[in-house]
Amino acid sequence: MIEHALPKPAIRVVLVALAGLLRDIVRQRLELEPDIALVGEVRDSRFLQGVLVNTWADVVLCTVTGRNAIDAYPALFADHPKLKLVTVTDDGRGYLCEPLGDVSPQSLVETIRRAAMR
Amino acid sequence: MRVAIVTHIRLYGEGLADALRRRGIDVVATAADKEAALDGVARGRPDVALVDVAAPDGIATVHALASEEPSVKVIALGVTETERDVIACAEAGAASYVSRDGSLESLGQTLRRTVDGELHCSPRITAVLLRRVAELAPQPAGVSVRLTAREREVVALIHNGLSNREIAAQLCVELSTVKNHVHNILEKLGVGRRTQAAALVAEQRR
Repeated sequence: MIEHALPKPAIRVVLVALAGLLRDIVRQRLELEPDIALVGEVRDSRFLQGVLVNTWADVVLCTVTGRNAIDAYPALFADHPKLKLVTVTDDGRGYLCEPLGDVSPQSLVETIRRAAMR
Repeated sequence: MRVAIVTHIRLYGEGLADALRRRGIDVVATAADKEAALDGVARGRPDVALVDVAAPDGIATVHALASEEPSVKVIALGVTETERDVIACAEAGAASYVSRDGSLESLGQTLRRTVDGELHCSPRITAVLLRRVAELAPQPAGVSVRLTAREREVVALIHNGLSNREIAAQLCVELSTVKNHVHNILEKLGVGRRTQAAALVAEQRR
């Protein structure tokens, strides 16, 4: 009997980040990972709804700070119950969260993998 | 090109180091505060130090590096291009200023231009710096330049023969405001009477 290993599907990530250095840094880092596919980028979580419908994202990675950044998520989780959120801000309010000051590019990637497996 | 990166935010420090290395730039030191920056620069001998001025000791780090390591060009990495921040960095000795709003691509350009001794910055920052130079420039000789624009206006009206009450009406201000202006004008010009002040200023203009 021959078993064919199925290709492991990549973790599909949508990035929420303002244009700038942080977004460029995170994008470049994710592009290096073979098991992670960056399928969308928005600058504000208010624009996520439209992107999620078309991208089948597993994880939203949010680097935007402030209350508004998080307020959109409860409604998104209602529509996409399997979606995971990773934030690098201090106001994650119960979602997977690491403070921006402490997170390294490597740990960010690992957090995305952990979130996707939950 | 050899670069040192100073930031208290790990994602920026490690992320920028990775990104710059992939662009062929030699990152010789990364540091999280002023002491580590001075140490890292002394050991790594970079051409450029990129210093995150959002850190609590960011401006102090720019100043320390600029004064103690004059061969190293310091680029301030700010949050946004506010006038106050840009001027504070320039006064601390920064050779250039970039904001986090910019792209990695433009940061790479700024690094290269700064090593060549050029200032690569946005038109907005150029405007801020030129305004500041004008503010600091020595003022031309002549008494009228020591008066504010409003005071010069008042002196011109005195010269035209208007009373304080008439000046107040013309400028749509209270009489007491005009009296204050006149008081300040007399004091600045060192004269006792308003007509003397008007004559003195008229004399300067000739």
